[in-house]
Amino acid sequence: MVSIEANQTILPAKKFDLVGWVSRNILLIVVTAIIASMVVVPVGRLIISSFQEGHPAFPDGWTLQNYSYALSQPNFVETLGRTFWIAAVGTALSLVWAVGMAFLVERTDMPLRNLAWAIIIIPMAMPGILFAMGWALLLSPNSGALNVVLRAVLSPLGYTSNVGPINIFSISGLIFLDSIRGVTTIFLMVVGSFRMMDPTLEEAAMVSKASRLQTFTKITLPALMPAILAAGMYSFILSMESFEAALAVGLPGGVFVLSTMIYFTTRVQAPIDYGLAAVYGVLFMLLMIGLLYVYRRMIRHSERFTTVTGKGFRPRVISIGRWRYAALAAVGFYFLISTALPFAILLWTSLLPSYRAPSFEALNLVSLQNFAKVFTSPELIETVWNTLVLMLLTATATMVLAFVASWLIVRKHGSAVVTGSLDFMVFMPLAVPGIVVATALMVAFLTPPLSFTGIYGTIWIVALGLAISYLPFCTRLMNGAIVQIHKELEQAAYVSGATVFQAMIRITLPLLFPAFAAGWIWVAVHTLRAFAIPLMLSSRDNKVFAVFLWENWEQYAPNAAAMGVVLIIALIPLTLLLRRFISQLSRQQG
Amino acid sequence: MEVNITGLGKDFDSFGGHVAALDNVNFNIERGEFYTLLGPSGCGKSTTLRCIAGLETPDRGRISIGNMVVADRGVFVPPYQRPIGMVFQSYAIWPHMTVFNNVAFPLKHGHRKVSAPERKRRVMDVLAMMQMEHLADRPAPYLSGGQQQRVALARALVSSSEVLLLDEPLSNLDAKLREDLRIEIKELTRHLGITSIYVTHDQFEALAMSDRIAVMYGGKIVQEATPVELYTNPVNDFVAQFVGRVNLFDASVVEDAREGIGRVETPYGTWRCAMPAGFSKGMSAKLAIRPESLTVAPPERAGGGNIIEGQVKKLVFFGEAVECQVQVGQQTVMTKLATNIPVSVGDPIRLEFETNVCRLLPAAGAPARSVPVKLAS
Repeated sequence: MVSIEANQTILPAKKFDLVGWVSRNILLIVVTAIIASMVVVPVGRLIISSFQEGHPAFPDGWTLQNYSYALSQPNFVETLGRTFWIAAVGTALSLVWAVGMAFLVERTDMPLRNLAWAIIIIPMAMPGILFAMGWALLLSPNSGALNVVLRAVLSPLGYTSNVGPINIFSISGLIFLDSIRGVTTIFLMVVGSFRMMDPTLEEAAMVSKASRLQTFTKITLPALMPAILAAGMYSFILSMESFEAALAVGLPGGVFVLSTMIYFTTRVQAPIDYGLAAVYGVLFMLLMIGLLYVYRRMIRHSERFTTVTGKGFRPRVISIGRWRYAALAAVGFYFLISTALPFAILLWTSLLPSYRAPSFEALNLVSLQNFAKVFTSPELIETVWNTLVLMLLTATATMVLAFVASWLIVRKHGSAVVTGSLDFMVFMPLAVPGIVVATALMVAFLTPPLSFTGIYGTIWIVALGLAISYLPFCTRLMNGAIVQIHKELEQAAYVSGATVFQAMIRITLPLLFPAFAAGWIWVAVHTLRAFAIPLMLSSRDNKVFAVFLWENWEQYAPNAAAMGVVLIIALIPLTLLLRRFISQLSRQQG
Repeated sequence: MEVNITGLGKDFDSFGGHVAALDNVNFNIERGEFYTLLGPSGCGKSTTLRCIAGLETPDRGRISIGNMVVADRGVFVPPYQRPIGMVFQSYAIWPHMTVFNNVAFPLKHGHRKVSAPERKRRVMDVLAMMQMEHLADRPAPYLSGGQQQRVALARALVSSSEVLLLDEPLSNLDAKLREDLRIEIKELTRHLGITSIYVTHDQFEALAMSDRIAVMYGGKIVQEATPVELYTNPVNDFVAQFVGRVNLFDASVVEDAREGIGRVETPYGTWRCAMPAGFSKGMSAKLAIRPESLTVAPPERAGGGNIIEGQVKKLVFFGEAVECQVQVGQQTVMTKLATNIPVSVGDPIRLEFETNVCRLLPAAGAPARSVPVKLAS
């Protein structure tokens, strides 16, 4: 091809024509306005409340007192440190597990590697709240099933106490749960780099007379380090805002983290100190922005280290000899603590009239009574109905918004400034933890003018909160898919007589269907297991399954266990379906 | 339908200012004419076409199709209301539809919507014309490149729009298919009497298909002419180099034209050549000679004629001819020889040319530096 620099003329800047600009950008303006009111309004209201005295509906004036009060409380500073500590240690442990298993599954001759793959991602089907409940039943200091067993084993050695030896309601208990929960996320993020790593990097080291161990520590690990650190950072961010374990295990033991502190301030303590809750929310958000900034820098940095070349080679498999069985045992142990034990104890509890540690005598009491009781309660029918409505509403609304927003962002239709701000706004909720989204919505919709919409206390506000949280993921997913669709496919529709809207419905959307469906199922699954936002925003009429389950847990564990068992069984096929959809999609896009 | 473009201009944002991508482009296309916009990438040819289609909004100027003004100050008719059909470089065949549904799409939307039986009849007619009836129910992804391009053409023609826009439609096809489709498109548009605007960077396509060609460069039309006129009478060295291959020599006029023939001096000899008006003694110029205009001079001829002496540097066998690169002083001169002429690398060689086959061009052409010319592909 010939390339010549055009002898270009620089012209003076054009005049601005407002009416023409608005008419050309009408779709962009409408979508940006919707997303701004979803994202910016509640967050803005939260920030305003943090500077207000008194109840946000009848503020007494402006003040910095909320901030000075929060920051002068030793409680707050301690909680902040504790949250960091738990997330940091938990993530470090998850990294060891996840990287170790990724290595075993992808690079060694460990037997049953395909089964191991499935085992490692199965915990995705277990909502965090049920995982935490399961471990509370296993390791509560008095009657936890594992503690009973341990006491029996240890009594010949002189252990006489009838509590312990392990107390899950503690910082170490929380770290333990956090470390197991992080494994799947990190594993899925790093396993690809293990698979795709260019084997010539290692071969070059070996022909340079490096031993196998030296090759691994000096070449393989450093080459994968950026990917591993980025995954660790991502998991750390998720740990910082995790709520379920902190609620089910931390709260009973008096171990507060940031998210449970906000929950306590807004939902338990009376009267509610909205100003203080707002301050906590704002500070939490600032912290997340900082962490996300670090994360973004890390992934930008990691691109220089790209080891993934996309040449579909199979990396060399390392023979680990007799250690193969030890490795398999380790993966089996992971399965036991991440899935099998918590599920087994939930199942066991759900079959008994009241909780007791597993024993042969207790077997006589086993019945399906709890299931019968739970599933005939009228309240349950209402919550199941609420959950289904919420699921359909959230998945559809989020995906339609994400589709249109992504289309505008990727196709750069219209004003660059507005498109840029739209892109920023759909990314922003990533920095807002679910608990803070809920707090912001509470403050915003309990006070005028938004209180007049009357959506507080309905299923709509829960859908709104979830949609805000899921928007970043869904728009990233749609961005990736839209980039794959050649612009000319849409332009061919325009010159064939279709309007922009018709082309979107008849051409773009059908071509995007796999990605759209994957996103829809992703949102649906996450809505089913969502906990923090529905709980924070729950009231009499908008209770969903997970919230109802939690209320039962607080009163009568066997009922909650029965509901949990049913929820997990419903989630397993959905999760598998989602995995298939997403892996198909990434194969198409790869 | 005739297409008229007046003072067309478009700017692209660049480094805080605006850079003119199109600068005062004017042309008028007659009804039924095959008009080609030819130029290197970035010259503005595609942007011009996309302005006509309505896929880009021009910043200045006026575009009319037939008696419909589609773009002017304060007027912008969106693409779906313009009487056009368009074929894209990527084919843009919708993969989620069958061949039939792809072709039927323009008859289902907008101002060209027709009833279902009428639609079926017209789609099958146009598919028959393209000899693709048997593929009507085939899903679009199961088509070869050439078939996809035919579907794209059928889709552009089905609505009987009177203006057909073609944006490098053949550039993704292999050489043989490209030649076949070149002829097919030309025949079809002539048969239908449709006005066609064709964008390409391929000089051979442009020369073979067009009634008229506009050579574009830097957002402007440099020359507008028939293919023969363009090839034999380029206005400057850029056009000479871009359309076909050419040897260029720095020259200065040493003798004014007498009966159209003058004399120029070059580093390699003083030659007699056709000299258009506007050149006079002492002016510097560029002398352009096409490779096929150079022939091997018989040894018996002594001086007097236009002789270039050099040494054979390289021979490339092309089947029907041999391309011969001759080192002449600092310059490499290209010529095309019949395969039966006995030359080998290193031989001294004498080339000659007729006074009326060379072109004298202004010294300062459009581009300041020489342009690498795309070879036949």
